[in-house]
Amino acid sequence: MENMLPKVKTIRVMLQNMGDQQDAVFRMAFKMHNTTNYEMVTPESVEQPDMVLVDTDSEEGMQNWQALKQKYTDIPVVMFSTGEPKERTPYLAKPIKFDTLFPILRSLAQGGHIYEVPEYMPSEDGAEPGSNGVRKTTIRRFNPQRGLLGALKAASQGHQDVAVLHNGKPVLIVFPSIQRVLLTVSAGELEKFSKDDKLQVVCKAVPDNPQWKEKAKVTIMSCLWQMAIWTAQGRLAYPMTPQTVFTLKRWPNLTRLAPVPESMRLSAFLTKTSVNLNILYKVMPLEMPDILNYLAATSATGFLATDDQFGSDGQADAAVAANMNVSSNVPDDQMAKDAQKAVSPSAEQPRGLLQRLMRKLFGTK
Amino acid sequence: MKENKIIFTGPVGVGKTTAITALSDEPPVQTDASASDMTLVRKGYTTVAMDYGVICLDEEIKVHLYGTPGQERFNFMWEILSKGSMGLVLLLDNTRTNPLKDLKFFLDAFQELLKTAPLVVGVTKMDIRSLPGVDVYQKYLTQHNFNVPVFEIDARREDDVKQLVSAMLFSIDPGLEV
Repeated sequence: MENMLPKVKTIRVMLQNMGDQQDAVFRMAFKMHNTTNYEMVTPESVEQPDMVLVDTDSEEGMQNWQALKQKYTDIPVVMFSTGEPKERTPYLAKPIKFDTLFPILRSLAQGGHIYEVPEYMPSEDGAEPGSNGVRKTTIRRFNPQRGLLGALKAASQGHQDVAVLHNGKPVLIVFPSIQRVLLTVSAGELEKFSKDDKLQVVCKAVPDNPQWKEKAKVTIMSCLWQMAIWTAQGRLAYPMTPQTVFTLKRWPNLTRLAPVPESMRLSAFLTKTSVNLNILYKVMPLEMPDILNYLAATSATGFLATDDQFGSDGQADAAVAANMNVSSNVPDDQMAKDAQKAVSPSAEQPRGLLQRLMRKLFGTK
Repeated sequence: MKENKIIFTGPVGVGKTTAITALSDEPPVQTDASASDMTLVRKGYTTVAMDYGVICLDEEIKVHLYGTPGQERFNFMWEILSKGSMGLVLLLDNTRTNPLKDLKFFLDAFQELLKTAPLVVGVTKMDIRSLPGVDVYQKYLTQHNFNVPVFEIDARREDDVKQLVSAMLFSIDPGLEV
């Protein structure tokens, strides 16, 4: 599967109201980054931007941001400023931090990293909120039992070889006995189909065919993992909720699965402890779409264990459609304490050294 | 107190020297010699003392990478070498007769270190022989109370080796800011 997947994605970014220095910093960062291809575009470019970053620290910049929001209604028009926004908006804080810039840009491109204006939330001891570091976000859910992902999952659990058809044409042929899948469409089409929540698919048993099996090189595991990420698009897998408690049964084979940002960190954390989404959001400074894509992938592939109290109900469609709130403002119970302990520095191993080693490994050698 | 060192271990020919070479800032010091015993069946040259590589964080702070000699008659060195290590990278060769037996052997050999240091397991040559699968190793490890990363790797691929080491670092501290 790895060979079929597009390696480098292009995100076109338009910078507005930036000074020369900010402009140069972004250009240099984009040049150095090679996981995603960031391309600068201008208002005169033929290519349309995927995202607009507007420096709103000046009056002119703020006015321009308002105007650009009207012009570009279907892409993120991001506020780039030193102060926190006074309204709900995609937001990138100044100054740029290189270690978080690209996760944030990726999240922004997927419609995430929306700044929510904090609400007044009195704490139990009556202290004023505001500077207590509470993070809140709204998430959506998807039904992993539907569409192409649901069909693959169902077919992989049976014993019969099954073709998954869309509009009468095969998309996948699943061979549970050898744990392989034959892809009959391109990776691009598979991604497009996976992202379509309303895709109509039909599963049809097929006779044993050694030639097809011979051609089936992709493992069911890697296919489920990748399709779960494409399907999730930064959403939570139904019937999980922000209160569902989860843990990782074992580590996924991360060197041979499609990359998910922060999957290494999340795997290390979730094999040590059980949490719910609110607590995870509190103790780990990660982007919510990255967390939810990881949960979707580990859930689809059976690595994630969840508590049983949230069975699917008869109102699935309505329940999936409802937005849910995630807040880091959680009670200081045992689960939260254990989670906090799991992300605290080791007494024996200074965090500074480990961080420098990690940066050295993944920076320039 | 931990020392700034990481131990690479595993059977003869699994790729320990190659893995250390992939990470080291300087050409690793190797103490290879022509193999004169059963090792010859698997590779012409083998490490008879140890491999040594280094990752320099600055002029003073270095992380040392030690590769244990593959041959069992040098086992006496392992305990001395591994004392105080940040973690253990165990490489297993899937083409060997009984790689699960190898896993058991190395878990026993490093049991003292593994009481205090994290373990990560890289399985090599799965492209040549796909079984046992990663899940089989994980099942065995879970039965022995190790819920640790087991990754398929190619020791010649720098990125695979780095992923393995990053899993080890996050296992020590999932809250690392990187």
